[in-house]
Amino acid sequence: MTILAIPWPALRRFSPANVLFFLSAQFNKPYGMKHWMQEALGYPDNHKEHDDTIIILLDPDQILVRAFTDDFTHSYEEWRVENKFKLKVEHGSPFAANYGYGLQWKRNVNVSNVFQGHSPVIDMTDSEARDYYWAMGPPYIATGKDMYTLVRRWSEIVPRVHDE
Amino acid sequence: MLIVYKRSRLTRHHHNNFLRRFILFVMGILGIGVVVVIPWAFTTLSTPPSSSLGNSPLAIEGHLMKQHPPVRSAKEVNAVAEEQKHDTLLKVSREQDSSGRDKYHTVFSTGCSIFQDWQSYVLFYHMLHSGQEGPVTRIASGCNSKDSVILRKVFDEEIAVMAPGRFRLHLTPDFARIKPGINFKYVRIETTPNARGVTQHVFTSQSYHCGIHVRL
Repeated sequence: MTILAIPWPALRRFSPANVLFFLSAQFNKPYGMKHWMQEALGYPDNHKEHDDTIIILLDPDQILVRAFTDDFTHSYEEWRVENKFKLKVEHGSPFAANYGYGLQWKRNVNVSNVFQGHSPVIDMTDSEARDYYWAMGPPYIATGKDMYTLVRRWSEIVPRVHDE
Repeated sequence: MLIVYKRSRLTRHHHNNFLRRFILFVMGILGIGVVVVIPWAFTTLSTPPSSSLGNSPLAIEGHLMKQHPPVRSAKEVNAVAEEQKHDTLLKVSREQDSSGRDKYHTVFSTGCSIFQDWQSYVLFYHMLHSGQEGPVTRIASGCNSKDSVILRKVFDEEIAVMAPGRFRLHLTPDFARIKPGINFKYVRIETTPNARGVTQHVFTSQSYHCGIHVRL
């Protein structure tokens, strides 16, 4: 009985429901965001109304200890880029948290397949990626205009990443 | 010889039993002391005895004047200063946002499991507790028709009332196993001038249901 009980928690992780949850979790965020921006905010037709809104995308297992603003000038976060960087969320200046996945997003996939077309990622060196494009994760903070651009591209890429 | 042996065993047995009971009794007394007496003494001695004199001037002179400000480390002082700066910044940003539009909109994406219902509940509470500005939307993907009704009902009764008009729920189709262009097509159809648009999700796979979302 004990022998049977030990592997059960491990097996449960690979149950059909959990595998489905794992798959859906990968797609839900970009596609859900895209759906919400198009259906609830009215993108792309109604973009003027929400282009300047600061959109903060979180994970559901995160909690807030203080409120987000669009200005990190007086905040005590540590930043990956050491100098010449913006501390305010603006168009073209989105923010995200630094995660420990390093350059897996680039090294573990066939870049030319995932980023089809003329993408600067294809010619990007590891050094450049390490300095400026380290793996990121939630919270993502961007203006509505940037966020819509991001989720559209994200939802294009994520099925191809999953296929890899 | 046999009797003597039995007596000695009995004697030793009784002796050990008494010793064991005595040790258990002492340990019980010590346990009660640790669990009850020490916390009681700690809370009693640490609270100032200001209640006996009420709010009389004597009480203020007698106790409050003797109290020293709490000693804080440099790290705590810095953290408090940063919080004050952050609060000031938040007030400024609130004042600047006088256009009537929401400056911030917080979103999080979930599935439709009970587990993520609880996560959402906690996150909504912390949004309120932290003083986060603007609407907060939960995007729930993949709820079937029955779950959608229950989720909407629970959301309206338990979560939306925390901050009416601010906390929102957005339901989407199931996005698992998507192959864009193969089993999922996204078609936007403009109809009458009164209707802003009709979006139709067409799932070519038989395992998916078809849903039509009308936005007026």
